[in-house]
Amino acid sequence: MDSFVSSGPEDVVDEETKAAILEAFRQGDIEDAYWAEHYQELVKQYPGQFVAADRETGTVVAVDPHLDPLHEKLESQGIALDRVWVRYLRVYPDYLIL
Amino acid sequence: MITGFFDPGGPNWPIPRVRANLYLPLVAPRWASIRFVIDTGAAMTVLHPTQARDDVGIGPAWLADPDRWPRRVTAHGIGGEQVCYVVEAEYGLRHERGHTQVIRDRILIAEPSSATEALPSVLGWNVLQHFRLELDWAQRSIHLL
Repeated sequence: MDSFVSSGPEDVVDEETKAAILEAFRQGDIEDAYWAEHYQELVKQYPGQFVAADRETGTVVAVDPHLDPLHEKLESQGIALDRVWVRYLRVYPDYLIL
Repeated sequence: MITGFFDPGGPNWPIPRVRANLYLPLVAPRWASIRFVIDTGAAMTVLHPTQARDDVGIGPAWLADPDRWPRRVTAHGIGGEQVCYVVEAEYGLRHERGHTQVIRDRILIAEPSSATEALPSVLGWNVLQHFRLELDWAQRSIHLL
């Protein structure tokens, strides 16, 4: 892995790159707000499953315990991945030891 | 200062999270925002399949084909061994008042499997080493300084 370039944090000076980074964060913030509001109700409905929610409406458009079938369901509905947020709704207690 | 958060969808024990953006020049040349678990036990940042596919946009066939990933390593964790692809990565970071920074390094992308598909992606020491971590469960606050 030695040929990779590594750097410490460097300020972004290119305005186009900065705008792209901030826009990605803005989209992430919107997603976080959605799941913060809906996670608890959705985990009761779909425990231990992957859920895809429409980014525009927040409507749940596909559910499955596994990722591949979830994507197949989206594809069969003609829904592109960039139109949904996908989250695995973990049921606790379910210990994560990373 | 970068602000993180404790997962509001989590249980009553802390799951520390922070958002960072990823730009993978040779794989997915656009910025994608990822919710990472802050993992001080991880030597490297790892992207797991859900985020690799749904957030970064790596196609499932591409992700599942080891021949497309010339650099691979076996990572060892409490749950066992995991083959990971090694790729060049840029990490986009957001500080207060819109100040942005980039770290250039690499990332491990976990080979898809039933064991990894529901795991969160983790931000490891290749990124965390550049910051002082403040995690305060009582105040529900997380900062990377």
